[in-house]
Amino acid sequence: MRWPRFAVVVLVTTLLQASWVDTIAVTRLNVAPDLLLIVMVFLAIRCDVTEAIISSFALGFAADIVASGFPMGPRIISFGLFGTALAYMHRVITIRKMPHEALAILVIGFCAGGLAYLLALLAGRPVEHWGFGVLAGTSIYSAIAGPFLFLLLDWTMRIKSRRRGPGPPTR
Amino acid sequence: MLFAWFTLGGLILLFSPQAVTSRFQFAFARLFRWPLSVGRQMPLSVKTELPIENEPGRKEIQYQNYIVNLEEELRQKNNAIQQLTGFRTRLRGLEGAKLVPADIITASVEGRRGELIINRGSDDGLMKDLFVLGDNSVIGTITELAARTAKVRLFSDASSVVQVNMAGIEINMLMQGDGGNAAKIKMVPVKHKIKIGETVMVRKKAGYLDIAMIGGAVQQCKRDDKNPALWDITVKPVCDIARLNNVAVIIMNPAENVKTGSRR
Repeated sequence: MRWPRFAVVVLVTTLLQASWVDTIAVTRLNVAPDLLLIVMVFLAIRCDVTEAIISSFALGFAADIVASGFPMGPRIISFGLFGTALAYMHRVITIRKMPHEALAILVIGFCAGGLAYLLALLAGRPVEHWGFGVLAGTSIYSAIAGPFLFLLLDWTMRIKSRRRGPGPPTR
Repeated sequence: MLFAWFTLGGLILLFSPQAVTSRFQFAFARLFRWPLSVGRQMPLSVKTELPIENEPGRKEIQYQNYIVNLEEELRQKNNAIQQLTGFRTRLRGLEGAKLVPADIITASVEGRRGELIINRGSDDGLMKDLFVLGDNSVIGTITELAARTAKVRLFSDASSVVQVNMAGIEINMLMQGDGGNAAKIKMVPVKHKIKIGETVMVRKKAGYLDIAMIGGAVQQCKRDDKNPALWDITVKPVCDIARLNNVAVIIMNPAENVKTGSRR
């Protein structure tokens, strides 16, 4: 992992998530993709476990900063937990094809969003703008857009050669 | 081990007071004010390719809203005189109030969140629940505060609920944000006649707003799907919030020892 490059990608993604992403929102619920979730899944299935843990928590922190209506904390934990789980799972299940990547984003989006909501409830903070429709819409939209953004991220992060899975290691 | 430490950090943040953790969000907004505002302008450049003719300009909107506020003030004064309540009321609703001008750092208007972050905070005498003006119309209330920044929840936000009224309808109405760029008024019986374009006034609230002020206009009025005996009223803001660069916070009873802020 090239950490300066990672920092730039996280910063740009966070800024886009905070300011621009609502302009591509669809439906009456204003469902928009979660760019930080997409980057988190990308790094979890492209990097080493240690790198995936660090990047998942960092992206969770960024998601908490831009998540209006959510208290700070739930997304750090949920992104970190599911990013780490996905990184470990990727040791045994290869996620290479676009439909598999989309499915991973969909599942992680549901799980991370649900856990963040439960953690916010646990902390006794009212969660605004949340509902199953929004969670489902965000996860589906992210799953559709994610695999295409993976191509851009592959080019940006230059870690395509680190893909793991069956076959000889490329490193 | 790394995972455990990060999780512990997340739990500490989760159970820290919101006044502390929201500083991260405010700091981010202040630090990246410029790129965030660029991102905010991007949709506007697409939407304003074809300007609609006869659409009122911003100055005109300001004057229109000002006139509506004056008319409402006059109407209320007439009512007060007629009823001879004996209450001493101000000749001008905002005369004793202080308007704290503030610049908008970031705005979320288009999405399901409706909020602004402004560059004034508790150091400027702001408090929670104060009303915020944009182009002479009430657009939202203060919800979170830091020393030099504050978060404004717009009336279009899904969690916003405010008491409103309309001319000729003597019932309490609640306006709730629809999570888009509008708000809804429900529970109004269909016996009341509602006109498209009718102004919606934010009701006065002791200590926060001494006079009703314009907060929107009726955009759509149809029978409620669930209960046809009630109206489902859609209210649009009377100013273009996405284009606002600055707002004013109303402090009805300002303390004398407020550090900054100027009276308009």
